[in-house]
Amino acid sequence: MTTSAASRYRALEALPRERTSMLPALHAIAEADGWVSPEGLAAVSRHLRVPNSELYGIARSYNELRFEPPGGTPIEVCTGLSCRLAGADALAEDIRASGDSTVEVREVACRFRCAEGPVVSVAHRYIAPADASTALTAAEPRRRRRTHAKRTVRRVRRAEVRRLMAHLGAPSDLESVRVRGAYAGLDAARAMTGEAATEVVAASGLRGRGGAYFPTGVKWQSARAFEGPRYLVVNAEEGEPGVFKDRTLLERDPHLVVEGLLIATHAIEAERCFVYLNGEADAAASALSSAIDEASAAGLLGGTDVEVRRGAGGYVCGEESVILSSIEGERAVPRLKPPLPVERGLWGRPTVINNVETLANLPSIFLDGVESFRSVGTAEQPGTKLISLSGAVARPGLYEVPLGTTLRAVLEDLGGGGRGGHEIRAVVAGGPSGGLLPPSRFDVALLGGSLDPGGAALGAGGIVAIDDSMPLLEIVRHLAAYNAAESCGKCTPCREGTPRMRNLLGEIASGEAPADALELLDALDEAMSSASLCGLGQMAALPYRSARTHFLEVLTGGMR
Amino acid sequence: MTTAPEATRTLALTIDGARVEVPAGATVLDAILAGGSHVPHLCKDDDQEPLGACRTCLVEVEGVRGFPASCYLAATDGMAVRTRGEALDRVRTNVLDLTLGMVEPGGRGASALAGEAERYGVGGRFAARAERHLDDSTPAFSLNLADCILCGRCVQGCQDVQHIGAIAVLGGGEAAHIGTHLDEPLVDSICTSCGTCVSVCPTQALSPKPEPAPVAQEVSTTCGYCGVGCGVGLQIDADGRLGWVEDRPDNPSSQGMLCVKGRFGLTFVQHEDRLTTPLIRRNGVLEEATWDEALDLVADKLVEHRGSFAALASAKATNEDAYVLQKFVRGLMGTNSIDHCTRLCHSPSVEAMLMQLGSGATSNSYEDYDNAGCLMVVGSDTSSNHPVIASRLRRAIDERGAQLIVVNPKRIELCDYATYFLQPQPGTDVALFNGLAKVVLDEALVDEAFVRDRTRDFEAFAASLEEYTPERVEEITGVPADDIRGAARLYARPPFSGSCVLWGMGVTQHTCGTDNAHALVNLALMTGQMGKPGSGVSPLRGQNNVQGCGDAGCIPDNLPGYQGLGDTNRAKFEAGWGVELPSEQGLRATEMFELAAEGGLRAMYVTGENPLLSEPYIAHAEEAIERLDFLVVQDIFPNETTAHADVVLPATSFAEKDGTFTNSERRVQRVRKAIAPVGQSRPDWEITADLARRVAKRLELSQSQFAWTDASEVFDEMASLTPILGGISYGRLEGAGIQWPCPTPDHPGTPRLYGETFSVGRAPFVAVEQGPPAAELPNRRFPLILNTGRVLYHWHGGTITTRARVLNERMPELPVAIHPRDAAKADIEDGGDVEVLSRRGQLTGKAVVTDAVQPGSIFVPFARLGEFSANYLTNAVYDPKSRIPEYKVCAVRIAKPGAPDTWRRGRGSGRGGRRGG
Repeated sequence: MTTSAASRYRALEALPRERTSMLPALHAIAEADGWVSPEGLAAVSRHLRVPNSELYGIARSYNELRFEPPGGTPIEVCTGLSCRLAGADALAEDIRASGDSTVEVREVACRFRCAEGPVVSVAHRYIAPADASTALTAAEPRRRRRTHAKRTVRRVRRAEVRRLMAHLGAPSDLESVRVRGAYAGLDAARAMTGEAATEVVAASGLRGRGGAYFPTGVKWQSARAFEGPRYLVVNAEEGEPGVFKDRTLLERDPHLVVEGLLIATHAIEAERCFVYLNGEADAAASALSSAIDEASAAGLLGGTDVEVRRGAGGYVCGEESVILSSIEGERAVPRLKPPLPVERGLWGRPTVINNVETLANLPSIFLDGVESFRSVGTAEQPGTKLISLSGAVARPGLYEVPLGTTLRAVLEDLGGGGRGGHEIRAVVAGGPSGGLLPPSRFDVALLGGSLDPGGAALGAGGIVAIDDSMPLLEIVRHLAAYNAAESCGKCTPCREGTPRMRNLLGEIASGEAPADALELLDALDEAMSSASLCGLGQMAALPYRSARTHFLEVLTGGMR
Repeated sequence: MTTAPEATRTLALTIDGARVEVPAGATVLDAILAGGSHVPHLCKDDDQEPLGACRTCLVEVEGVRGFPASCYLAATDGMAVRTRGEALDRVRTNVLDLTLGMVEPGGRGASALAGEAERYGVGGRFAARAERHLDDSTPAFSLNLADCILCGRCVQGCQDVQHIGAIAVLGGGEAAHIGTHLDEPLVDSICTSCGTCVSVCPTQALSPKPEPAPVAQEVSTTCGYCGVGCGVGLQIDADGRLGWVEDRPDNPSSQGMLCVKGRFGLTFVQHEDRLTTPLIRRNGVLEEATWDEALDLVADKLVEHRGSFAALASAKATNEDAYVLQKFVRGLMGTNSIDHCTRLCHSPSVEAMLMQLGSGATSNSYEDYDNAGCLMVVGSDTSSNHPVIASRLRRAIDERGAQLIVVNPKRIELCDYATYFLQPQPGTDVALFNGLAKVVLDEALVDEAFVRDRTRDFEAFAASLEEYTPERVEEITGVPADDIRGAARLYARPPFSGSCVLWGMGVTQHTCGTDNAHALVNLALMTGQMGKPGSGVSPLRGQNNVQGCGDAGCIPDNLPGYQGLGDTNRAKFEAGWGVELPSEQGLRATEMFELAAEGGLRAMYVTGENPLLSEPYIAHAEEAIERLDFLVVQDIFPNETTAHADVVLPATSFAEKDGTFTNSERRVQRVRKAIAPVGQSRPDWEITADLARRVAKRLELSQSQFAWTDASEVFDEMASLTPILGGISYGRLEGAGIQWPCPTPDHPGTPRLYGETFSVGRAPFVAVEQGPPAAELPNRRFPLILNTGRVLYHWHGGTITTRARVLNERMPELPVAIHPRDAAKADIEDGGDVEVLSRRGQLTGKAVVTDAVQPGSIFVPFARLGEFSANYLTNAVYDPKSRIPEYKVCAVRIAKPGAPDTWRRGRGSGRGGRRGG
């Protein structure tokens, strides 16, 4: 290594020479060079003692990493569905049309500021909403300053019950949060045994808020049944387009999450805790890290080792077994289940993986009691749910509602109905792993599990309202294309099925589809849903299936 | 895991209504295959963990939603599994159809999938999207992405089996493909052409070049290259030609791994250059002769020179070949002057270990490398010379977190994995090892109990270390004192389990080779890293049967089984063989040439050795050979030594005969005949026995002592006289082979020596001192140090590997590794020609400019590639204790061919042959 490289990669050299340093190492060289250069890869290969092709394969499994030097200051234009509904396509055109050769326009998948679109990011700084002029200004060398995003959190509306969001907007330093009772839930939990604390959570009926709604207490009990050492992994990847709840919690009330993860650590008697945080969520990362530092300094960690790991893109990185592979330093592809992570997770040890929002519910369960927690929501699914509402509504933003609240209440009472007085023609619920709901289904109660035979699901709580500014067929194709782009490529049905589904939908849109297109799409749907390795592939056909269920006419229009 | 340990319970389930019993731990796929049902399983290798990628082994399980993949679904008692069903068939058919859409219609991949396609009625429902990239860059195999279904088995083989990591799945989704670092051609990657990927590819996207003919039979045998002892399956076509070489997962030494030489390098056995008839020199020319003519002539001549005769055995031949030869030499020729190439590789190790431990063999098993917490590799480029052991080392490091210490003047591949890389100046190993020992002593890391109970002479040894402080040793060796401390601590107190030390020629091929070995053994003894799991001392044996050749008695100072030449032992063999045996120690190989040069030796019988390439200072050895009255050479190819022979006898290769090899972990393994003998060639032991009968007749001795009818009879006789092999017979070698000592037929063999005792009683420490680094050191005229050794793609002298197409194409020219600083000084460019000159000769090679060698050192393999070999240059000076030549250090200079060389004036040209200077 040349001297200049040695100094350039100083951050790399400081990392432990273990495979688990893989992603931090790749971040370090990408930060140093502005891209993942061959010289940087050679340094990582040497430092971590990983053969170069194996390393290259691992690096190439993260789609936020760039393998070519940037051709100018990168301006990333979010082309998530919500931003497209807010005019992102035109924005990208406008920036390109400026002819500014010092910038490079990159159309990227969701940047998770869905309520504020269209969104542009320059060097991890966000302009939202953006236009061509503010975007180009932000990219000027001397003008690259932090641009503050508009507030996502609005004033409390009638349909809301704010528990997790109770203190968003208030000061979030440790001193302030302790005044309002933070860490009292942790004290209560620590006053009992881990087993007893697990029983409390089981009794509360809390279910996982990442989208699967699996009973948290049962998951903990399963992990506790296996010999330690155990690990806790906090899934803060939040890579689903249209969802921005975990980020918001971490940015605005990080101690709530830290308290929650410490309760979980105590209950399952975990030896170490990893927070796996989206690679783009810099504000959340810095808020969380400060909170951990504060908690540590105040002696609140109780000897627990809490480490923040940053992802590097990829919807599939939110899949829990991918997080395990990623932390261990392997390719970001799903593992085979069984065994489940509670039995054999990180480094083969029992591992509980909980979502940020799930953990944020814990302090109040221990402070205010199980009964209080169960006082809202339904008997089966008690508590509240954070809803990331975006798209064609008057008041997009983050809301907290009791589980079981109707979709209509969310759209109308909270969202204020269609934007600009336009009609809401449909919503996408559950993002690219969910589907479309027509107005006739707006009275459905928002609960975990399937909302609709067509495929829509509450999932992580992302709801995107659709008006007539984009053709429905294009929305379905957009979601299918997203799933094709995000397929990790490991299993055949998803890798081969998703692009074919995208292509067929595109052919329908352009009037070039074969006569048996729907039959082929149905066959792909069945193969992907029944045979794929992980949830991404198993649910990748749902946008199509929901359109076929509720909007058949938009699909049949384009047959040859 | 798909296999359960023995004696676990079985469980019963039904597959398509039929009851199937499998061991607990089995998967549903195991049960399906055990019960004779069928599901496709494109990504599941029989011997590897499931990948779950192809999604074609789907099943229905009663009471379970959906269609789980059976390859990673645990079988449970009472489970009811169906492999067919309307919806299931439909899903599987669509998945197979998508798979078929990945490959080029009409190609190898499509043809490999045709059976499943037909079975499930699959047909072109989805448009094909085959990748069209063909990587044809290596001579061994091609990678055609148009036939690839991305099952991932090749990557599993490369990364998880071999731990090489030359190929990977690159990118995601539809862009995913098999490729190398930066998508460079395979030939420019770190791929070593081990062929594991080729062997596991289900669609022949990875396929050998040229494509082998259909297999008529596969014969399981043992690889004939290095001492690892890998199991190989030789696939033979209907014409009796050797085609593909399959790995053998059931072989415990190689566990299904092979290297490029074993996989692609065995084609030499049917190379057109093979010797096919006996040859007799008439009027200075070797002419074809009959076996009778040749053997009668040899018998006449050897009888004539009885008393002035010596023989070289071959470490490439079988135990049986070796046993028969030494019996002939001792019993009929009346001399113990028999030796083999161990003299040139591990005689110092054997010398030191025999004295201190009672045996010169590796004390542990390869399994101990798997379990060790610390692995110290000294003077061995394991990745080149014992590639499968290197794979096991990498696996221990990757998967179990073992720590690696590399000691080598050259940066080798394993350094990429090392915690400590100690790079001493050539010839300073004694100081370094003593320095390590000094740290162990000073930091109270000595295993007191072991030293007290198992060793002697510790105090004198401890006192001898006084001068070897890390700082002082840093001055001598150039190795930083802190690294010496760190490595010593790591070796003495590994993070878990024990420590193994492995070494190669870098320790032994010095004038202080035996001292080096003593110093290593001292270190192992003082830390107690011996006899317990995960510990041990391992001189890695070079030739496939160098262990066995010594075991069988082809050494001048011992009868078979390391039984000394004393009266009792001689009496036992005299009774067994019915002859009187010589009591005087015979000549060692290097002494044979010295005596021949002086005219004191008149006849030699050289089998499977090529001293005129392997001896140091070849020109000198050539003169010695020229002075013999009679030289008979028995080999498979014409070589530098046959060129000087009076009679040449064509022997068979390992592929054409039955027998046994004993590998580096003392495992006796079967060698089985796979092809017909080439031409009139015969197995070595048969030739020697035939010759012996003719000699016996002339000496009026009984011929019945050389009348075996097959190799197993030879083995049985050897076992009956050799306690360490006493319990072994061919019948017992059908499975995994047996590790000696194995004294009785019910003895399981011995994976690890010295658990309780040493045969020498208490193991003595032997204090050794650092002397001058080498006999010949650089000066103004010869400013560089030449280090010699081996490379992955060639075997020793290269006689064999230059006749294996793939190996020769991978490395056709002699590489000369030069540090950039020295290359710049001599105006030599990477890839350009370079001349290397020593006081004894010169060679021309291809410059490889690399910082893997230290400034002031160059490295040249001793294989003869093209016209040249390193031993034209090396120095014929010897370790006084073991008589090994100092191959590792001599003084040379380099020059650009044609460039003015101030030292060249008045000197002739030629490849060697000049004395002194």
